[in-house]
Amino acid sequence: MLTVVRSPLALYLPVAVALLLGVIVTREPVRPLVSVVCVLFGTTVFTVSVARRRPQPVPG
Amino acid sequence: MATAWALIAIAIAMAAVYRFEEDVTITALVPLLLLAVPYPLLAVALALLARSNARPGRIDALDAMVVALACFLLLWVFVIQDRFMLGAKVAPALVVLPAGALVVFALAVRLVLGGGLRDPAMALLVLVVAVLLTTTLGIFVLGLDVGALRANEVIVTAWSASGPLLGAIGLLPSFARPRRPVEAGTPDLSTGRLVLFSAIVLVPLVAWAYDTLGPRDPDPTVVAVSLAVSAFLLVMLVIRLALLARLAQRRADDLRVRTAELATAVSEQAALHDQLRFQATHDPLTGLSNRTVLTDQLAVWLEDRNRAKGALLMIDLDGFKRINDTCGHGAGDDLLVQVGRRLTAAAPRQAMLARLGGDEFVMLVAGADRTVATRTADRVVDSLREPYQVDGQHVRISASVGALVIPGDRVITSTELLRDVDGALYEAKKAGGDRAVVRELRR
Repeated sequence: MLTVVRSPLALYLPVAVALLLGVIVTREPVRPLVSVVCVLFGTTVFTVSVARRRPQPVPG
Repeated sequence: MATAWALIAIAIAMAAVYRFEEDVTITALVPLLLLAVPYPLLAVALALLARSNARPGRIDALDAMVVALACFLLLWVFVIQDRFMLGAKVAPALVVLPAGALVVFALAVRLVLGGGLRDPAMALLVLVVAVLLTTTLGIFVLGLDVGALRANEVIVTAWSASGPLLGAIGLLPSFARPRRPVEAGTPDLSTGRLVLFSAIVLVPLVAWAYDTLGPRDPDPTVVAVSLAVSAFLLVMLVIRLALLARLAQRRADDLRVRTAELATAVSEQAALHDQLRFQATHDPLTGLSNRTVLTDQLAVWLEDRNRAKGALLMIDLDGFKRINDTCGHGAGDDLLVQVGRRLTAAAPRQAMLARLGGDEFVMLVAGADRTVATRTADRVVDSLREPYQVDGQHVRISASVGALVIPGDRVITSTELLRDVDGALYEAKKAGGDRAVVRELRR
């Protein structure tokens, strides 16, 4: 069985690009909604990353 | 760090949820304030990040302020003041958004100048901030034209992109594992910064030229703003140059101090070298040359095929052991020192005097014939016969001298020469001492 390990960034980027394309191609009244979803999606991912962040001690 | 990132997340989310309606006029203060709410959050976050990710130092902060002021001046002259002169009542808008954007922009530049871009997460964050500033200012500028806060397609798309960009920051490896902070150091005027400042110096000139030679009549209020900002910008540049001059002066002072320290160290090393060389070639008690120097000088003199004749004198004190035994070794050393001085005084000017060891001395008199050798040997015997003052007592001691006159054409080694002169000294000792025996080298 072939197991493909993808990094979170590799999974995230296609979704983000798709949402951004959605902002570009859609028109009123859908467009504002897609725009908010797009921004909130990125902000949510970012917030979760901040919450899960466990910085290692700085070397040196 | 976590606080800073959290503030950024809040700022972006707030910017995303705020919507603009056509009936929100540009003169309304509340919508403008809402539009500007992300600014203080971003400013605080950028300041926190700059503290932990950028090189500390006031010069970077000053440079960031200069860059931000120059950009503001250009924005004012070419974008804002035209709308202002058209008669729009946009006083709150002219203050709130540009001022907030100026602060955020300055802090972002501070992060960049401090070396923050070496971290990919920071570089992406600066891009997000740039997008946010551009879009909010775009909305503001468009609003000035139409009198209402509205965003066009390009602005909406760019603004929407700030969210995904922020999410990408959170997933970057460098975000989870922060890089080592930039090492502290004083930034100097690099080539890049020199070019930047050269361009910034031209900004007030361009602004003044546009205000006075531009397509519209200059408005005193508008020109006053651009002149004030220009003056402030130039003052900042002068302060920057003064800091740079002070830095150069401090480095020159450091260099001068280090050069002086280095010169002192070199001088001390040279003195130590001289001292070591003296100790290696001289007898520590009498200060005369030692056996090593005598052997070397003798070899050099003998190897000289054009040398004239000369004489070698070997001097040995009679009964020196008695002085050591009765008066002590300290007195014996004192006596040897005095003997060394008398020998130096009795030696001809061209003579080389050395202490072989114990109470045995050797004198090489280059150019001396038998007459000079005899006269020198007798002078030495007479000189050393005089009483000495050792430890408050008068001490008498005599010396035996063996002298060997060496013809200039004779080939002989220093070892053979010392052996032969030792034979002459033995004769003087055997005859009872207190005398000189002078012999010609016969072989």
